[in-house]
Amino acid sequence: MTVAKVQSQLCSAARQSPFLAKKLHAQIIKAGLNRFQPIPNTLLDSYGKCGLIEDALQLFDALPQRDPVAWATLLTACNLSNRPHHALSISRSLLSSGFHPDHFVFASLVKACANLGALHVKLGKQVHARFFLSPFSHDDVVKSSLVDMYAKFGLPDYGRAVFYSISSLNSISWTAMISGYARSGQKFEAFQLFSQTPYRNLFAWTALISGLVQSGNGVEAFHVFLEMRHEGVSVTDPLVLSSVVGACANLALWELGKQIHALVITLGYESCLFISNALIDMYAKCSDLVAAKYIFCEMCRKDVVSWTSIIVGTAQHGQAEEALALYDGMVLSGVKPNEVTFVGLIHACSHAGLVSKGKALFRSMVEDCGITPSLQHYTCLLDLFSRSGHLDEAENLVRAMPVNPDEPTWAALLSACKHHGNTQMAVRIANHLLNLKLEDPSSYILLSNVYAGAGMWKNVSKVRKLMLVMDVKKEPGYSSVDLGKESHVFYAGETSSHPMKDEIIGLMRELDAEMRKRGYAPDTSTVLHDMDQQEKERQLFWHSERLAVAYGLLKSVQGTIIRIVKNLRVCGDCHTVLKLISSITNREIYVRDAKRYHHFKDGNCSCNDFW
Amino acid sequence: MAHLNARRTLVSTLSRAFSRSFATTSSSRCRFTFALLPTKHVVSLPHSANFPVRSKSSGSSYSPLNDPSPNWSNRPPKETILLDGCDYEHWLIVMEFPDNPKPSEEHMINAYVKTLAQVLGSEEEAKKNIYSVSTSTYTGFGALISEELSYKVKELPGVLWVLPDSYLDVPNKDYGGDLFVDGKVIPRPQYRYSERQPSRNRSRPRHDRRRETMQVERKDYD
Repeated sequence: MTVAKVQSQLCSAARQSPFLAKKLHAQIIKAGLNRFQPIPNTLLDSYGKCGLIEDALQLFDALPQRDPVAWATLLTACNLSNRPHHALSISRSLLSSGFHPDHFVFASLVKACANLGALHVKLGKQVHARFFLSPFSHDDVVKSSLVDMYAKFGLPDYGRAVFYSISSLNSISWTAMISGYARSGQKFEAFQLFSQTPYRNLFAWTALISGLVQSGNGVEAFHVFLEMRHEGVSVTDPLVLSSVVGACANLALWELGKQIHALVITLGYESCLFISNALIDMYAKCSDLVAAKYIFCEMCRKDVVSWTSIIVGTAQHGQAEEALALYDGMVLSGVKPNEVTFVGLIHACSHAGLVSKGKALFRSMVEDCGITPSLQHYTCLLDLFSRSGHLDEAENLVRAMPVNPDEPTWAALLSACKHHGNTQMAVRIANHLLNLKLEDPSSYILLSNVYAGAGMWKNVSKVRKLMLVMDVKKEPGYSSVDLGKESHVFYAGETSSHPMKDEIIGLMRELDAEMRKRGYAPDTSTVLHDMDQQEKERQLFWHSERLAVAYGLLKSVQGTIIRIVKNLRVCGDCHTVLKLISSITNREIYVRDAKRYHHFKDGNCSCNDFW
Repeated sequence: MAHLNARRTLVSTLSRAFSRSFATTSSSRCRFTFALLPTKHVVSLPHSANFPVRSKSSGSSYSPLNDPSPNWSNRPPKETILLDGCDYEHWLIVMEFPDNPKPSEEHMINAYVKTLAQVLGSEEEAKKNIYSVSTSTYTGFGALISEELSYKVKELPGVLWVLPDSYLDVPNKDYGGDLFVDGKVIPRPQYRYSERQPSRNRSRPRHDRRRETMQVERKDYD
């Protein structure tokens, strides 16, 4: 057993299997070679590449001498296996050990810091400082890694300073810099750099596009994507496709999502795991659960993201039993849930009123999986209690939760009190909310109604005054209807610009007449402003979602589902109207509003009138 | 979103965009903004001097950091966004076939024709309206039909997906796949992509930051 032979065997083991690596380790020990470098370092490397990080750590600890190669190998192993906490402790011990890293070690260190994310900016800066003072401070590879690290920290300006100091810029450094700006939403700088880079390849385009999507500039990302397609850039890597799919998910653009899906197929990426995950999420967010499930079932390998996406998707659309059944399937298949999975599961329980199941899942999340609950988890739990009338538990939770509830959470609780007729509690909460700066006009309406219901007229006028003040900055309501070639965005009250305005108004009048025949009367309590009854009714008539539905009815193919996205919470009156329209026209209407999905069918809504 | 694995040569710099964060800002109406080089900041970067500056219409020097009241709501696009070549008359129809035994190319193409014939009335009509086929990259075909008919195709047995088709090769305005003319297949190997895997080695399951599909604080577990 010669050293060279062992070396080569170890290297190939790294690509094959952990079992082989361990076998070789045993042989090495028996042959007494385990102290002769480079064997221990190569073994360390093999363990790292096989993902046996604990074994690698053990081996490292047992090394009599740790040379730079050993450190670099260990850090690389941590980065590969992506165990941020290991990387963190190793980095810290390295920095305090008095050991002097070389440029390879620095590169791995910086990468580890980048993976740790924005919570560890200090550590990243410490590493940068050490690097700067070291004899390797001219190393361009490390500098590129630093640019990337600052990009991940959301500090592109720091990255830019390092960028300028790079003596020979290559594709990687340019891409890292563009990515940095795009991710932090600094579009101008990102575009500027992009126009300057000599390396206008797929990676640069991808960095720009995915950065824009991540910083919430989905629409711009699409335009850049179209430009990229115009230039005929060969899509040899699918990352850019999955970014664009993600943007479709955020904006609930079903039609565009389908177009991208077609592209994914024709480019040959149908079986790519992370693209499939992105597609599941996109279809779920666009309320096409059938498609989401198809994709899920077709996947030969499913990871935690796949399971989570489908579970959350089904949960958000009220399919509680399905979501819980899927969770059972996930557990059986050995995939561990993460924090997002639990948000979906508790949400599912809230739809089905499974209070004890929901509480059990919450406990299991904390105790069995060691996950710290976030605002989302508490919100879902609150939703669960509110919907099923466990209002005292809900109030206790609100007061006890370590995170501050946001406005929709309070609104949900308040409307639950109203729904279940608990006026006392409603007033208590309303008083609390009066002191907060509420943004959503529907919250004010809720407050006003609560006080009116309790006969507290002074407070009603107080709320009214606040509403008037707020009115100036009020977010206009808009609804977009997704119709392939002819999608349109409708703003409340405006149709004067639309070419089909007469038909739209005509149809709305017809529907209005039919609805009144069926006993509908507009619920003007939902109108903010002080005006007479007729005016109020007229106001409601022009709500954007009605315009959107009318247009959808006129333009879409008969019998298909009309898909609408609204930026605010659907108001009470519109909710009733949409239910009626769905039964009058015998069409299904899917509305995604600020918080929920509503499926209107045959006069009913999937949210069970609780939103 | 996957990350490119970087050993020491830093290949991974691409950010993960798969995030459910609803943070958006886009109150500026700028469509496609490729900004001009601002004359104030003369940047002396090596290599930059000789490269043509793209001078598309610049939006504004808008930056969310400059915006006094950034509007972090998800605004939908004002105009409909369509991929090039997408006209809702060209449709990509993907079909499912059993794995064993794997059918021959001829069998698959026959199936395509027969399937489309069910909505168009005859195989003659079907052959006229199929413009592309594929049996390798994917198992499906491109058909020229109305949106209404496309919904009918979806319900047929063996049909997996009916999606709006667009140019695979935008500069050449080509829908890709093998051409299908008068019932004959004209192979175009340049549009065949066999078993594409991402350029990174993904043989081992990696931690995906896409787990963070909602805004959750990442805690340090020590």
